[in-house]
Amino acid sequence: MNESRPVIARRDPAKVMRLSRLGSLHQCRLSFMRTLTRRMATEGWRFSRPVFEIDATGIGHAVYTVDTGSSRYSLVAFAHDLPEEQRSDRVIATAWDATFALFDGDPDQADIERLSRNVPFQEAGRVSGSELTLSRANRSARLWEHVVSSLAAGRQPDAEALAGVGYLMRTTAVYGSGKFGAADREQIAERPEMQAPFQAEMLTVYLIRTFVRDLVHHHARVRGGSAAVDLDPTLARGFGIGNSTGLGMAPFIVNHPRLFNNWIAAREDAIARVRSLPTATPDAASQFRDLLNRCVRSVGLWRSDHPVQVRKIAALTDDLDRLISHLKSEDLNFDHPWHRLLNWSEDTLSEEGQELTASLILEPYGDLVDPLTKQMADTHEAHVRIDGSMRIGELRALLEHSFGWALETDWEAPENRSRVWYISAEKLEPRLGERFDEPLDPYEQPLAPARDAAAAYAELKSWNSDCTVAEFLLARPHHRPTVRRAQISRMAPFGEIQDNTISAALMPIDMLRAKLSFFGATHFDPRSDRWVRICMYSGAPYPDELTSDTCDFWVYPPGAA
Amino acid sequence: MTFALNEVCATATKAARGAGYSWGLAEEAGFATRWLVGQGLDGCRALAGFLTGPVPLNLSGSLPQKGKAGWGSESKLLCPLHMGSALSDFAGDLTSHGENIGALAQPILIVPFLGSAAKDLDVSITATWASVQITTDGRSVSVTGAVEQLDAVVASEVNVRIAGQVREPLQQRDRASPALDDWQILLDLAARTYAPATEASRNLGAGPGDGDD
Repeated sequence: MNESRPVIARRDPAKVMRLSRLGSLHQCRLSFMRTLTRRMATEGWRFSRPVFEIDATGIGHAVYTVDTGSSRYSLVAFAHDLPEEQRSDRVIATAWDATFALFDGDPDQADIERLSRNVPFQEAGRVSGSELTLSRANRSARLWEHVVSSLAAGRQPDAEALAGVGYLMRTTAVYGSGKFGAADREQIAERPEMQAPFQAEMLTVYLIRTFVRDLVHHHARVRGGSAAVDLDPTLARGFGIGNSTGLGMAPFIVNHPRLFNNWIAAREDAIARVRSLPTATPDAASQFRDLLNRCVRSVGLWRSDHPVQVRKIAALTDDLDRLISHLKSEDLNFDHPWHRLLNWSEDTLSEEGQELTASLILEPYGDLVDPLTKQMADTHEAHVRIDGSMRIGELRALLEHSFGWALETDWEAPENRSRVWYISAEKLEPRLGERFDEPLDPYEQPLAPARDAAAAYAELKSWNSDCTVAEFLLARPHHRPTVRRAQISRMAPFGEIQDNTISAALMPIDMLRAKLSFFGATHFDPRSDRWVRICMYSGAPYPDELTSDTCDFWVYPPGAA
Repeated sequence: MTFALNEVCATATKAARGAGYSWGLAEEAGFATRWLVGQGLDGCRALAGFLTGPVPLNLSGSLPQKGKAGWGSESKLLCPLHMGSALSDFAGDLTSHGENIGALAQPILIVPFLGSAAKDLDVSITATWASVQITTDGRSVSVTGAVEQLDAVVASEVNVRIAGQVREPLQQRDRASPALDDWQILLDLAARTYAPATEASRNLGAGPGDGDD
């Protein structure tokens, strides 16, 4: 058994980067929420609540502070009294039940006053370089009243009702990275705890969840007085924070090809590392089987009314049955068991099932997988200089490699270009329109890199292979984005979605899910082809429960007692 | 009130697009404006001045052409976004003798492109117009001579060469404090990239809403 360890290659970008597969991705060890909870526990972050000034009507503010040892961050939360008719899930709302900013350090009274004049207005206000994020949330009307009234009367709420919703409040946006005046990512990117992507945003949501638990306790005490009880800790842990995500998130993964590459490549590297293991120890195999069973429970709690997702959940449920049955005759202790398992899954399961299996085999191997989180940020400058000395022959080859599929597409056919990404003047949010039904062409956002690559490639046919990119761009400067992306693809093979982002058949929710899966979201619930609800941190330990035992596998519902 | 550099980049990109540039050149405008602001120079004023200045929106005449005597254009007035991009693309041709560039609108807007090239080539590049010299190694910038010429609307001749050394670099910034009238010009141009709402787009563009929660 001394054979050297084979290196099983990463999967082909042409397979991984199709939208149907990106739209079937699941969270894994590398997800940004789990990266944060592991770090918080291992570094012993200390949490406090220096301010909780919420009155009997539920209006006021609170401050939650975390001390990482080297830095301090404070969630400043404002609780409002929102009339029922103004409670909207959509990013386009103008009033919320609660609004938040993550402050860099400890806010003083002047900071709180400044924030109180801006944060409640969200996009219509301004924050400063002292704030890292801006966010807001609404109550789940279904559940909030039930939980408050139960606790006020001294009873625990109905566990099934809780599980069916999964959250007491739902955010509709968490803005960071310079939005609305907040600090640029560059200002915090070199702090170790902020190095991985979206850690400020993930910390914001984690602290919001703690605030929401405290707020529901506060409301129950106001109403029930001495009869009121707090949520049972097990029930409380089941609550996550809901999130509604619309089209605003989709352009991000097109506009950040290197960053998106780093996420996908880290996961593909992790999968390849585990596939390359010649055998699995009994402990690893047993942990995998345990988490698979817990996964079955998680998928059993996944609800959606969207017909596409309903079919996908049904297929995934069948996949899990097949996987469990397959594992009855599979000891996982010989001949590259994880590689064989993934090969089997590719022949047998739906894309949902394949990607769930791929994420799940990473779980027993924190030592092998977790160091890859370090490569998930984009540490290069935002601007990539075009190498003008590259020859046209090489540029053509890069385009063929990244966009080979698109060069054969008939981009004149209406069904291949029927959609237009644009920004609406009314809400300044990305939208998707119908090119042939609405006068949107002049407003089109550059979110169809495949179409643009095909156009550049067609022009390049008449150029001599020895000419330079500089000469081509001098004559045809509007092709600069295509050339830049092609050159980026040399370093970022997983940077391009290998599908048509303006096709009549496009499901934007696939793009949203790809991103949200890396946040660590579960229970994707598309509400249309363009927006999706998810749950974050359901099952996670609260600050006083964070330990090395609780900080990692919380995403999988615990086993039956 | 200060602005994040990301806001500067995003607003400048949209402003250039709103002024009629392709998205490709608009992205270069966003980069250039942010770069200048980060180096302590007034990128927002430069871009706002350029986009409302003398280069006609019919850009084809303002595109750079490389001749034996240097860079010029049919219209006799070069666009700095195109010129800067071309200087970066052709940076391998740059020498210590330098290249002469004919009349150039808002010359400071080419400096970020020189900085980007200087950093990659690990050299310092100096641009000279009127009586001002600006030198960058891509990491920082220094200015000598007539500082007021940094705001020049047009330079009749610009020389760019591999030379110089950054001495007494300008103080860098991580926030922007543009003059509000310049910022408003950029916002107004950026607004041209936003599609007016129609009832159809309200209903369709973001997907139907629902009252269930």
